[in-house]
Amino acid sequence: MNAFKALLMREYWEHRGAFLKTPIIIGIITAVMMILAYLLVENVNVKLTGGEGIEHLKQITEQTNTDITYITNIFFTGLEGLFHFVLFIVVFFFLLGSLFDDRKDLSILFWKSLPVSDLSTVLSKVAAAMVVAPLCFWVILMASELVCMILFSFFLLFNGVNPFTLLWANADLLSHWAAFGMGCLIQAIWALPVYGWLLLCSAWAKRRPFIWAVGVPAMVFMVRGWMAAFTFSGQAFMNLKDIMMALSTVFLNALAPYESRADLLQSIRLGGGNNGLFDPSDIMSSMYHNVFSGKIIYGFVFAAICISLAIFIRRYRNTT
Amino acid sequence: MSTILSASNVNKRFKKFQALKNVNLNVDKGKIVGLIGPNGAGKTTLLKAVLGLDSCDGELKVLGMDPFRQRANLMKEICFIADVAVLPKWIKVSEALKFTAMAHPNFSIDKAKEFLSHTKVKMTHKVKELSKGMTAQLHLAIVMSIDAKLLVLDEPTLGLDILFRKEFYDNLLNDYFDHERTIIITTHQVEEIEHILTDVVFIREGEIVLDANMEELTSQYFEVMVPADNYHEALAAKPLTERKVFGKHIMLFHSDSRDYLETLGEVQRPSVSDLFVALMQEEETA
Repeated sequence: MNAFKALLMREYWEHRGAFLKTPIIIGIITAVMMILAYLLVENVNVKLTGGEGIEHLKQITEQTNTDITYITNIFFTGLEGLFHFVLFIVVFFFLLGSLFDDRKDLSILFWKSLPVSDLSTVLSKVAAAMVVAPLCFWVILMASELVCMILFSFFLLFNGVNPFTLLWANADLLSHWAAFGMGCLIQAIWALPVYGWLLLCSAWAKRRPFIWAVGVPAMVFMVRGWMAAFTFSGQAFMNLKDIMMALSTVFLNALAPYESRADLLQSIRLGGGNNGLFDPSDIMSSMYHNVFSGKIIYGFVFAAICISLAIFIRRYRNTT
Repeated sequence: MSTILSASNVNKRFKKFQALKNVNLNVDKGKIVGLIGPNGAGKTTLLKAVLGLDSCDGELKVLGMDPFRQRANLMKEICFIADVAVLPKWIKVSEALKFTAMAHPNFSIDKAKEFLSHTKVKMTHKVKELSKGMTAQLHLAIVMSIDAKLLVLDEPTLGLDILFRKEFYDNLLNDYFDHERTIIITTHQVEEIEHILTDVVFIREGEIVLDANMEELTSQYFEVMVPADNYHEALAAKPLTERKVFGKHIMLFHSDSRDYLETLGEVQRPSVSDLFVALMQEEETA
């Protein structure tokens, strides 16, 4: 158990840059954009009506506090979506190198000189992808949203609005944090088959695991597509379409673990008619219902096969 | 004396290439064994099998375990340095020590810190910031702080300068070796380690051509400085090799007694490297 903890810490040490700095940079960019937006809006409005935007906000929010809830919901849900997206990309490349990089620089000989089994080594990579990286992102997301709230409070203060009664009383920060935490879990479950496949490619490839990870599925689809085309079989095309659909479901959910993305986009286009969609508790329940759809078991099986193979290869083939 | 390593009829094939041919070897506790052979002789292949990094045919037992099947368990009792370059570049010295302390039940972090306090290696350094010599010092400090029964060193001083090399072996002998432990070393720089070895094993094209302890070796092989007068007589005694230095012939003999050889000229103890060269050439001509 101690050894497994050490392995997780090792992943954190090695990938601190990707796991921690990446979300920090997103957070900083978001905060800077908020400040720029505030300053720019002020510059535009100053000659005309002087802080008209905030004044306007003040007027409408005095009437309905739900508007500010809606605005913060949109803003935070957007930020959380961005974090989920980037998290998947970061974990993608982390896993691709996880069983490959140490073979390339021969440091595998050091790792293998310690009494740590290959089973726990590979499982520590899975745990790093499913728990350590999301945890890092979660912490930074909470900090980023807090910073945004504080910045917004200052903007309100500068314009004579009490941020506590208007902003803090109406923004449900805790639920947003909970929603992101749960989103990470759901995302990891959806992405598990992808993670397993990446681990397998990382253990398998003698060089360039990326080519294997992307090339093999691409080849399979091409061959299947040609076969379908040559046999003029409508059924073959339908099968291919089904696989494509399943795959894109996995990827969409791995990148953004929300249900009803189409509804979400629709509601934005309509000018925010449906406030409920951005409510954190609705987001959570939609994620929850979506993931237990029965078919997810195929993803688990595929992931288990890939991870077992990766462990086997790591154990019996990868020595240098 | 208990046996640390026993190999009987160990073979290893890579597709068309037979890397190890019927290797039979026993290493007892408390020995420092030099495994010496030319490039591509199978030294590293043998060590990899011993360390459980690669499979092999035949019976191989290290500390009573099958290394390939029980690698993780075996590593509690063995440690090895494969090459100076294998420590991960990104890791900090403090992290490397902490990781080893958590992963290894027989590692003493205080000991490692004590070793490192005599070097220029700082806890905050990353491995990529260290010179080759400092990396080797770090690796040695880690390995020496592990209470292991067997230490395997595969070219541990490759690419280090003479000062580091000397210090490396001095540390190993003075601070680590205590006759309870066993060390196996491979290296090309035979001259530098021959004074610390208790046994030598010569390996050539996957076969063991010599397996002897140093005392046996010096009682069976002699180097004789033959003056020109005795040259023909000496040749008749069938030297293994001869070379000419400053008008004298230096010949290497395999003989049971030195009495006769002393009539031919001044008898010396041959160096392991000369012996190695001689035996390798003998094999080639045979």
